[in-house]
Amino acid sequence: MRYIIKRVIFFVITAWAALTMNFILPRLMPGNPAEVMIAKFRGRLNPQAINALEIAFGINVHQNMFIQYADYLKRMVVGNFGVSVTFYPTNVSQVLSQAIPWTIGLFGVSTVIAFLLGTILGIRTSWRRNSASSSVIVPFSLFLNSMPYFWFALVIDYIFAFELGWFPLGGAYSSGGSLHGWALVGSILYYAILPGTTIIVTATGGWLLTMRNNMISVLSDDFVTFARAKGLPDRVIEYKYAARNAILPSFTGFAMALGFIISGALLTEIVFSYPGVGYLLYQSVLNIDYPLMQAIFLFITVAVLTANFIADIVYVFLDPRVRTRGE
Amino acid sequence: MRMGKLLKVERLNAGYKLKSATVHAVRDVSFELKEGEFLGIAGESGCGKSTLAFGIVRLLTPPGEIFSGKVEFDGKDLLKMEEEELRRERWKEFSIVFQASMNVLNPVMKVKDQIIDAITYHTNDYDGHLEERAKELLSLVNVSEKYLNAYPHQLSGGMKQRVVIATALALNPKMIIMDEPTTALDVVVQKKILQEIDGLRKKFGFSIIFITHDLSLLVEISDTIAIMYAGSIVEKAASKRLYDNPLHPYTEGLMNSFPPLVGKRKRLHGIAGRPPDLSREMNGCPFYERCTKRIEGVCEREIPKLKEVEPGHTVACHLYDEEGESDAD
Repeated sequence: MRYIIKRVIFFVITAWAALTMNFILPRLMPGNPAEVMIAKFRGRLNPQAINALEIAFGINVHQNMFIQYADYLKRMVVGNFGVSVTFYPTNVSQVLSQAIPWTIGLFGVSTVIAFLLGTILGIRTSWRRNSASSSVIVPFSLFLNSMPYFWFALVIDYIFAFELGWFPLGGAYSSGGSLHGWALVGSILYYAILPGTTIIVTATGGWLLTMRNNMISVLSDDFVTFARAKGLPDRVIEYKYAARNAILPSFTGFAMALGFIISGALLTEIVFSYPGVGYLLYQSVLNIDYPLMQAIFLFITVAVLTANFIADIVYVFLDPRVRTRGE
Repeated sequence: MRMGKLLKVERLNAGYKLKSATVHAVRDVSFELKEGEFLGIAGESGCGKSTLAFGIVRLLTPPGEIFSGKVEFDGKDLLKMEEEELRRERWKEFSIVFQASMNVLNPVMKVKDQIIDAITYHTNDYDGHLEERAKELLSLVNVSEKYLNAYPHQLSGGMKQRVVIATALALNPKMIIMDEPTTALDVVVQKKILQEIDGLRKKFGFSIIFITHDLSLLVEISDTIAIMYAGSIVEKAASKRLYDNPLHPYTEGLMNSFPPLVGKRKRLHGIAGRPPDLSREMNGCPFYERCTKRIEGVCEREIPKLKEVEPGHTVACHLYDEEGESDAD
């Protein structure tokens, strides 16, 4: 229990530190970002947008820094990030909330599939370490894993969408006609196949290698030999004794990967023009949309922190040694 | 009571095949174990005693392997047995207790589940009463039942080893091999566990092969002692006899390296030199280099064979060759 309280405190402190960094960074820039933008738009910027920028950056110079800071924290907590420049006059939070489900839906699911697939293959190939199949799978997954995923995305998009025309070039669902119910679901899945495959193919190899390495070191542990001496069936030794221990480091990596889904999806989303957070970030950078960028960065930070926090909590249930260490 | 033969090891050769060399850690070892017997195997580190223990129950993993020989347990040849049959025999017929320094217990499983696992997969028994059985086993080795739900890291070294011994008893095996079960523990705990083991043996009648580098431990407790040197058994006798009348110069050396149980204080002597490299083939007595009683011209040329010098007392040393015998074969 004390361990969990410690994790909660740690989570709150890091979240606060990240928020503060997000507050300080724009203020350390020469001039200030809002002025730069106002100059850039040369008066074409709507007064309301200027006002939104001022609110977003708290550049009301008449105000004390600490009041600005308090005001900023308050706005961040309630999720008021100002108005987006790109999608003016929509709120940043509204723009963001439309993009998040796409990213989490596609990349979250693909990451989970890649993790499960890679982990199971890692267990199998380490158990049959010298079999023909594992001596093919291991170098092959090393090859896939070292391939840049945006490059792979371009290649499969070119072959399967552009040349063969089996799949759409990009987007999240068919824009022709209004689809409802199962037709919409089908369309979303169809559009998700290529970007999803990109993630699964390039990430699975990494999970496979991590799990395989963990397994190989656990398999030489004494308790595995002892389990063999006990005459337990192979399947039980493989999963209940070896894999159950080998998955612990993999699991931490998996939690980290979940946190980085948002930012990691960036390039794939650009290639497939997928309307997720990554594509949104790309657009906000192109349009120097500071309020949106700031909100996305904050969101990424919070996502990573939350994923880590959840991992820490789940870890307590996976590894009994952690439970007592905190006490 | 006539004790029947339980285990017969015949000319067992085992070791490790490495890229650079083959380490021949167990060389032509033969011995027998009777039902209910306590056999102690003593020798210094690296003499092949753990390889022997793991070899007998086929637990050597690559690069370790058995080169040749025969291990007959209860009339069945263990080395020729099918994997699945061997798996079913394991633990039910014979169990093994590893060195206490090893992390033999699965760190993420409760103590009781690790004991129950050993029972379940041999009896297809999943009932709740297995927890009762686990409790009973723990009480046999004086571990409080409150540790049933503990995880290995919550136990002390001595308790962990007791749990392992309790697990070894789970299916009432006929033989338990103990590979330095008390070595990593402090002397007081060592002594207590040893007495418990002996008590359990008398209660349940299983045989023990007890492997240790500490000959003094064995003298009091075991029925028979075998001394191992450089992969071979060099002397074997009833423990009282071996203690009173060690024949092999190496055994004598070992006896002189720990204080006697009774009698006057005397200066202790170690054995000078180091054991030979087990990756090399030997042409003569492996102890030749370190022996104080060596016979030049004989000992370095011919490997001495184990022979019975007196009933129940065998030794492999040219000092006990009969006249003219050294030229044979």
